[in-house]
Amino acid sequence: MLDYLAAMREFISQPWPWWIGGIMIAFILFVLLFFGKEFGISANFRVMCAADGADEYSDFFRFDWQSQAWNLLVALGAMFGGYIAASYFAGPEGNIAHVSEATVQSLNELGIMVKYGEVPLVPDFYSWTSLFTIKGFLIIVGGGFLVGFGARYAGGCTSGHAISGLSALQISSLIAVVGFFLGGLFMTYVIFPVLF
Amino acid sequence: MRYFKYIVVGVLFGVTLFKTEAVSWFRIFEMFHFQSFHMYGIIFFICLNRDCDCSVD
Repeated sequence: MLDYLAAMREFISQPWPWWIGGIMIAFILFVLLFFGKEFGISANFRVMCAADGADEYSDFFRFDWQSQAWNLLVALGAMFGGYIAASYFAGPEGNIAHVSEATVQSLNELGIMVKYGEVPLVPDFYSWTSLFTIKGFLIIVGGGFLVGFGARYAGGCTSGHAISGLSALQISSLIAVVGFFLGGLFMTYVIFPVLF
Repeated sequence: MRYFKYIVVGVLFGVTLFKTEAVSWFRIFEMFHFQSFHMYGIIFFICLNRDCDCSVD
């Protein structure tokens, strides 16, 4: 039994190929659909604001947020899941992102020094120490504010429009995704060389 | 306990995002530089799978 569990753990600890991720997330969407819910993590921003009293200030937050408690639990579970995967299913290599050699080269050109095969999941400017520097604070808190505001203003976050919206064949999501992509390209090609 | 199933779904989601490296800043950077199919594969595969799910019901 223990052997079996150890083998299972080793199996899960391998890096997952993209198609496993596709199958798993489609399965999760399907399970939630089966429960009668629509998957959407960023909808939680609105729920949390309403729960914290924003409903006193804006009609946008006047809705039955208690009925959305299930969604907060999905987000909470995702945090547990990330912790579990990072702590218990990291595998022998540790938590690394298997990005291509070309990407490592592009990063090095920007001055982000990483080695091929040893690229961490999270860059070092996302850390507690950098949160207390001006640049780090602007990146983390400023970025968080823009993401939070944009996700609600556009009626869904980047992956929400790209995954839930596109698979439901919504034109508005296609427009949103094109917008995200243009923004992302502009950021990585034009602003990053200035920023780093 | 009625709500416990949602935490289980969330844990599954969190583990998946982490193990497929979809949460990684470096993976997203790689995607915007068109240097790997990985992130596109995840998105396309979900859309493909989900549209199959929907045509069943």
